[in-house]
Amino acid sequence: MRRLKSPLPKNSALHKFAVQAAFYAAVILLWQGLSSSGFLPGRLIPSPHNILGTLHRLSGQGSFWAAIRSSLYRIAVGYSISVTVGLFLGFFLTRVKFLENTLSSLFLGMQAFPSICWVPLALLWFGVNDAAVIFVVVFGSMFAISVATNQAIRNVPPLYLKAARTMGAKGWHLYAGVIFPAAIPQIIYGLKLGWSYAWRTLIGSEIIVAGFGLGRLFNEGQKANDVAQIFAVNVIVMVVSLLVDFGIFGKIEKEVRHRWGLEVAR
Amino acid sequence: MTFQKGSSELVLSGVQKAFPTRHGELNALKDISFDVREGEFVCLVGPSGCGKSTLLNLIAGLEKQDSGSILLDGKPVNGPGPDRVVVFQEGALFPWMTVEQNIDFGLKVKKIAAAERRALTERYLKMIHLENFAHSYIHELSGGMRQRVAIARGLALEPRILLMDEPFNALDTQTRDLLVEELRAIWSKIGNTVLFVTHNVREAVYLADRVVLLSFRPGRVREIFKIDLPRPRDPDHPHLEEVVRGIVQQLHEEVEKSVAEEFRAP
Repeated sequence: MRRLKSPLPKNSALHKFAVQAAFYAAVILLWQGLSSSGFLPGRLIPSPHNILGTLHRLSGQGSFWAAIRSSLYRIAVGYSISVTVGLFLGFFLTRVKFLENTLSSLFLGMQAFPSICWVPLALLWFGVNDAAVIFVVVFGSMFAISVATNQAIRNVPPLYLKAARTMGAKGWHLYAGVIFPAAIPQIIYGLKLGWSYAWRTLIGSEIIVAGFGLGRLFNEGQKANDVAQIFAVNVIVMVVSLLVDFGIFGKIEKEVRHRWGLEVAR
Repeated sequence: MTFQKGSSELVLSGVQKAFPTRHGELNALKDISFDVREGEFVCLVGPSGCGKSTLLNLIAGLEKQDSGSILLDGKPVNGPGPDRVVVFQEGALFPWMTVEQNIDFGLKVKKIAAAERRALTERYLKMIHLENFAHSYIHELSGGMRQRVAIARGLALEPRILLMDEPFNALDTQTRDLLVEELRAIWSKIGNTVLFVTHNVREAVYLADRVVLLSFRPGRVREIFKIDLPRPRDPDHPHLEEVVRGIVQQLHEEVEKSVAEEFRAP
């Protein structure tokens, strides 16, 4: 006997989405049930309903939107600087062997360095302002991008270079036409890594440097003993992460993997 | 019928190349001397490890010989250039470019005007019967189609000599036969100079005006066979069979040396 085909083929994106949505809906329902029954202490862990209510309340306040705007402004400026400088440094190192031999270990170290450690220095150098936070964001994410760019360029298959050179390519044609595009998939991975470093660093330093953006909302929640507000801001942070990761990088990665033929045929 | 080919175009004399290894110097090529005349199809055969590919790299200018000279039209080869394009075993096509863009790349490097580039691309796409795949990406093509594009990419640059480094090795037998036939047809039409590295003697005899047999390490010219068979050739003709047998016999002696070497303790 033949089985009836499910309306959603097992591997389709829609099928995966439906499974995920059902899973998270179940988790939230369970959570709500545990909260309503009094099993979870509402003072420490708010119910989903409570969090939603807080989000609704916050969204009516101008200061809430101003906080989101100012955090997004700082991440935009910080990440842009980080991408520009990081790409340049990563690329520049491959051109100057001496610097590559000396600086790449330093950059690797910097990448692993906890970026929050830049906060005290930034406050002393710049004072309590946007510049300090942006500085920390740049230093927290730039090195990851330059290390990935540097490695991406070094990992370009030699065969591509050989082929390009026998066709007479050097200088601009070699870099813009072959080396850079060949490195793109790995560079994008570096940009994505840099983004997640930048975002974490931003929120971390905003919490330390009280009174800034989303960090301020966290601090207010803590002072007012309002766990629902802390959870609500967590939701905002997570939504931004997911939007950028899946919405932007996910799309770019998919496009590049397809175009570069990196997808494994199933 | 004898082949009235033009004057010597590529002249190798006393070419030597050694590589440093953990067990001392490895003599890859020793005292290689032969020439390739204008419009001639020369095949280079030999056991694996005889330095066929190294020799091709030297002619392409991707590596430098230790001593001896390689002259193209009387001028010493100095670095890679579009007058000696290589078709590699793995194609080495750029996956981020379409078929058309791959062919166009070298033409752009050569600073050919756009209209002429378009004409050349079209002409060579037609020659390899892939005009309907101009806008396909490389991963959308079969192995045989890819090698055809690689050949077109090389031919479009109208090099003085087309260097082919075991270009059909990664293909299945049927596709390989097809491509050998296609290459023969193209060559009979445009009559360009070709140096073709292969370990398939039958293929070499079917295609070549002359077959250069290299010995096992260090690679020397063991013998040069002039293939005086009328064209078009019948691959199953008893005379061709006889020539093949003659070369294979000598090749086997070299292969046995290479096997003996492999079984010797390091």
